[in-house]
Amino acid sequence: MNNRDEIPERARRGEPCADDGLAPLLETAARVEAAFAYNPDPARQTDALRRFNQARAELKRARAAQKPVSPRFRLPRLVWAAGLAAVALAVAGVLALRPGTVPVTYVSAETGGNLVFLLSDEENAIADFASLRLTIDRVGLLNGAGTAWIEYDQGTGVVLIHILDLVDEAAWVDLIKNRYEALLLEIFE
Amino acid sequence: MNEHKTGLDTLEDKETRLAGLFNECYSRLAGYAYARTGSRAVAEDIAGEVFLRALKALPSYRDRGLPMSAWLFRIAHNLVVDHYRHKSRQAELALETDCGVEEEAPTARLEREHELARVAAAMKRLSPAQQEVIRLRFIAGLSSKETAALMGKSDGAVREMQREALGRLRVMLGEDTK
Repeated sequence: MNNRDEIPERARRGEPCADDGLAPLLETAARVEAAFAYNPDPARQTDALRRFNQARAELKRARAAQKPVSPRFRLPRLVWAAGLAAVALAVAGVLALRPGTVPVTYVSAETGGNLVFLLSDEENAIADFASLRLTIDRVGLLNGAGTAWIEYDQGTGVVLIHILDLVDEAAWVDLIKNRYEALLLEIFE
Repeated sequence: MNEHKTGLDTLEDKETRLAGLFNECYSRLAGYAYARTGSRAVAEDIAGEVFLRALKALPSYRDRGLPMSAWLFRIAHNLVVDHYRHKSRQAELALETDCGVEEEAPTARLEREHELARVAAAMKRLSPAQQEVIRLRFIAGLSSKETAALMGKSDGAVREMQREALGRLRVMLGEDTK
């Protein structure tokens, strides 16, 4: 440990240190600590603890009341994310080789949108966010040439997946409809 | 308590850790908020509120080298900032000197109040960053590493600021007592 970092600990212990040049700083540190020594009101501390425990119990009750996830789907979120990302990449990879031609219209942001991004440059921030309001009525996944792989139209509620090299349309519909749609509905509903 | 855990703790694990920190951190948080606001009532409101805010934010908390106790001081800092957004800055200067010491002799109390006023006045002459280093290191009791993580600076920079701030305080307090 660097000597300078020992200042608070040595100040608290009241250690003399005549030889290392830290004595004056130790004295000042001890003086600051003593001046701001703080004894909270025990009644207010007890009340704060009671409110904390109450809030904790309420959160626990709320969690218990949530619809339990079927054991079939009790996989870590990371596994689900990896699975979905793999499907998206597989689709994207196929399409990247043979770009499609569906044009996408970009949507401009406006005040009072349907999505708010909270932005912070602090890890674990819980406040002091900058906010950005967006209206999202369509989501598109584009390849480098600006053509669409996936489009979502809020107006119609239709997700359009653009698949080139399509051989068996019924197999794709079955895969999306019966494998992924049901899982996603169960997770997010 | 060893606070350093993996980032894969369950929410229940994190709640248990947070609850375990209450008694250890409440008075330090109150002391930190008191040094920033000068009001015991506000300081203790903030100390209590920190735990409620932390409880709500726990699902998004990840321990990436910053212990949970240091995270609580970041929340306290945000609450102090919120406090000043809603109040005039006059209160910052009016330091309450009743520090909860019971059955204190009047002369001892008077001397303590004068000392607090002297130290607080000297602190105000430091730069805002130096003041924060002194508060986090000597009033909140955080390590230089934790202080550095909270302030977005390097460990070395914090220690340098600490040395500089203590040196300046020493000069100012020395002049003050002459």
